[in-house]
Amino acid sequence: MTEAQAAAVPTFEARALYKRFGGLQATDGLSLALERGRVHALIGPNGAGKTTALAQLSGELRPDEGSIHLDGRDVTALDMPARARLGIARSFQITAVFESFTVRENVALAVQSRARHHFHFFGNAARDRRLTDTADAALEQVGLADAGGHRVAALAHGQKRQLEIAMALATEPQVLLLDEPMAGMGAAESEVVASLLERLRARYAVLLIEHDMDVVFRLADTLSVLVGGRLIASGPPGEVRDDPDVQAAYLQESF
Amino acid sequence: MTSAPLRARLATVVLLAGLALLPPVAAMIGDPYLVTLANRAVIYGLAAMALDLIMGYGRLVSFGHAAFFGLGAYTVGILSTHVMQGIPLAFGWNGSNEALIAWPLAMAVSAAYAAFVGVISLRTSGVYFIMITLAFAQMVYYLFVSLPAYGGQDGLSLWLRNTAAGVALDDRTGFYYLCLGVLVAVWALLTRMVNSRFGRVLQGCRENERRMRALGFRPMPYRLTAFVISGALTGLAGALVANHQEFVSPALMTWSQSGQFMVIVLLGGLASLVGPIYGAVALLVLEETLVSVTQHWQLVLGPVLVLAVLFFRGGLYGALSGRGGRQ
Amino acid sequence: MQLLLEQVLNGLQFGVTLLLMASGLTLVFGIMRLINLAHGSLFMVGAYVGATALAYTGSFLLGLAAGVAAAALTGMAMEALIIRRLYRRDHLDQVLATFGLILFFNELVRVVWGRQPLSMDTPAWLSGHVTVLPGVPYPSFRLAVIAVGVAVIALLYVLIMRTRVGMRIRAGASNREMIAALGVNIRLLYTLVFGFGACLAGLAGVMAAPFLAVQSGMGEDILILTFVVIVIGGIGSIRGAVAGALLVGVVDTLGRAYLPDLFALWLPPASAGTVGTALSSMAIYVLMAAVLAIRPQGLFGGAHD
Repeated sequence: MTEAQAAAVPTFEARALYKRFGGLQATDGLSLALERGRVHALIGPNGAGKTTALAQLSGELRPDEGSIHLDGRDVTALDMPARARLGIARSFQITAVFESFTVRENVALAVQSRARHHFHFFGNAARDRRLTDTADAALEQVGLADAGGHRVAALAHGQKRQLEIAMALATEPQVLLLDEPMAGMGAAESEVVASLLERLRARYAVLLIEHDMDVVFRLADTLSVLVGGRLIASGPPGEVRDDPDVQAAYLQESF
Repeated sequence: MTSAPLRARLATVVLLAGLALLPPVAAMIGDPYLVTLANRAVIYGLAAMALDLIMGYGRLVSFGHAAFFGLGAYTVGILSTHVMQGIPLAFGWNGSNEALIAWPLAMAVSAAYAAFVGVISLRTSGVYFIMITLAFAQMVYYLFVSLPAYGGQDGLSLWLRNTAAGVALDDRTGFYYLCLGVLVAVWALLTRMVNSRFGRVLQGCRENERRMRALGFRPMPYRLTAFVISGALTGLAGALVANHQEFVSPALMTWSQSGQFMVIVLLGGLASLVGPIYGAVALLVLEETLVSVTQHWQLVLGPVLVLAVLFFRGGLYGALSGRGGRQ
Repeated sequence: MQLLLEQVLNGLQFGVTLLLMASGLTLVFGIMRLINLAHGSLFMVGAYVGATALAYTGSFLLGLAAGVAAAALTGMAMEALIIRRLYRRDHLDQVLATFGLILFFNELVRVVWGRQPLSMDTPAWLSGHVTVLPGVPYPSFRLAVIAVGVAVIALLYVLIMRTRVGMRIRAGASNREMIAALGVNIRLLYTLVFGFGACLAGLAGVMAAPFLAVQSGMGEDILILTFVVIVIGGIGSIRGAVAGALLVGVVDTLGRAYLPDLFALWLPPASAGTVGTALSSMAIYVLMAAVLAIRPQGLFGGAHD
């Protein structure tokens, strides 16, 4: 890392987040920084608090303590819709697309969230070029250019995951929070999404929660390991992999 | 959201043509009462279509739409009563018998109440929403039952039907065509609305609220807007029914009236807009047939509804468009 | 003061009826995720059969037993034939199908009993008065209704929270598959739970019948008030049902007794009567709106469904 980069304000930053559910300390002093053009991977065993952390970053959960900043602005008090409008997009671990819509309509809705004008009551959204052209461009990016007119129900699982990402991209975000984008995919489908992320990474600050270690080591610039709500290591992937604490706590099973 | 197949479109053309040709046919076979009956179906179809906007496209199961229906009807009834009795209603105004004044006012009153109910009930969901909308309708029902100035339990007779831009609406056929015109106009309007940006957001919130929030949408304003529009249009149907019956009473606001609107939507086909027209005609035909067989026709209608819920999920329009289940 | 106490007791008695209804509805909703509009029909069946059995036998207790049994059997038949097909459907389907059942039952009682309302007498041995406070006599029957209601609710609470059957019921609510794997017959369990809710509705129906006109449609008036109770208390919560039922019972009764007089203090008598009556019939709905404005999930409610 050059000095100039190190001094820059990170695009998206979480400072000392704490979240408790009853007797469980789900997030225990978590700090993270994401920078544009870099992929920050977050790994950890099941139940480590990855999804809870992501919920706080996206605004779905309010942390008990700590703060979250976008471009230096404190966004801790903003809820999920408000953060989404500022450019924090997320994908879901369990595919969450609109089943009765076509593929293009799904993405068009995401475009619309950026374009506003939701209280247009009479223009036909399906013939609105401002929506459909942008939607088609996002579909092209993720490799679903031909599927625009299909019903979502007709898509394969992997294609739905691609659609998830297309929807996140269509909101023109600065920050992408991806919750296991390869979950449930075969090797070929996984490869499609991995190379997609490789192409996209330059333009976004990416947080990647992922179980597939090959993908993590291929994409990540920074690797953080979450255990029991706490980061036990964070840094360049090679160093983190060799960290004895990490080996003990987690990676021994995976390697 | 794909367009309906040819068969369903043809059926709709036939249905609307049938409704349009009904008055001359009724005159030919010497049964003008048919027009009165069909007029009822047209008005109830309008109210049910308004309900379908929120129930079908927003998954907001309102069990209280009779309140908006009744408020619309009472607005017309009360304005008319004050004109006839010459008693000032407010600010020295004696009310009005003019549809161009009374009907928009009926819509405004219903919309205002819908806004009140919506603001409170839309913060909840599921069975809560069902029970709260039902309870708020019951509140209006009891209000009018205990208002002796406007007839209380017995209701209020209209001395005259409204005039529209000065033209009396007394002619049975003329009034029927007016109602049919309103129905078709509202259908066209709502069809555009559900395909617009606003309609997309409404349906997105129906499908997956969490996803919508992650995309930057807050569902409440969209749902409330749809709820108020739906309430206003149901109020318009109420204004029509007041003129049709020349009588308004708390019976228009009962829970069973709300239930009837839901049944019409179900029989016709949820989330289709045009379905409620089928549903209203079907329910009317079903009722009239059963009534001609037995005075205890509800003994049959009840089980028919149960069977329709269990085995006829897409409704008539769903069956026509090959959409057996629901979206 | 004496009158006030009497009205409060009347309110409690009404609240107990609502509580019996609300517990049955909440039980069925909590366990089977079903909203049953025809719960009011079971109340009506209890009242009709109770009144009829009393007229034939002259025994109030036989009337009570017959009413409760009839409601329970009707409920279980309803569950086995129709309701169980609705558990996995959405609430809209449940509402519409049970709306169909209401139409059926309301017409059925007209066919069997005619259009004239029945009336039911209080039993002779409970027709006296009890002095609840010095100088305040109160009808024994109303007091008995309160006592029975309280006892039944206490029993229900113990049953659900403290027994193996209750444990199964609660487990069935949270994990159907697991409990089925343990060899419990879920279908039968659900039928029994539904029948139990119907029992409570039937009991409420018989006990309320002496104060009401027993007629077609009587179940829906009470059903809607029960919904208000559940909304105020918070769904799925027994504590909420208790709080909601007593609140609604007392507010409604006191409102009807005192609001017209209250308005007479500053309005001319004629309009005071009108406004007072109108407002007293709306009082509980205003209460509901106020509770919801502050706590959308009800007084004791958790997450929504």
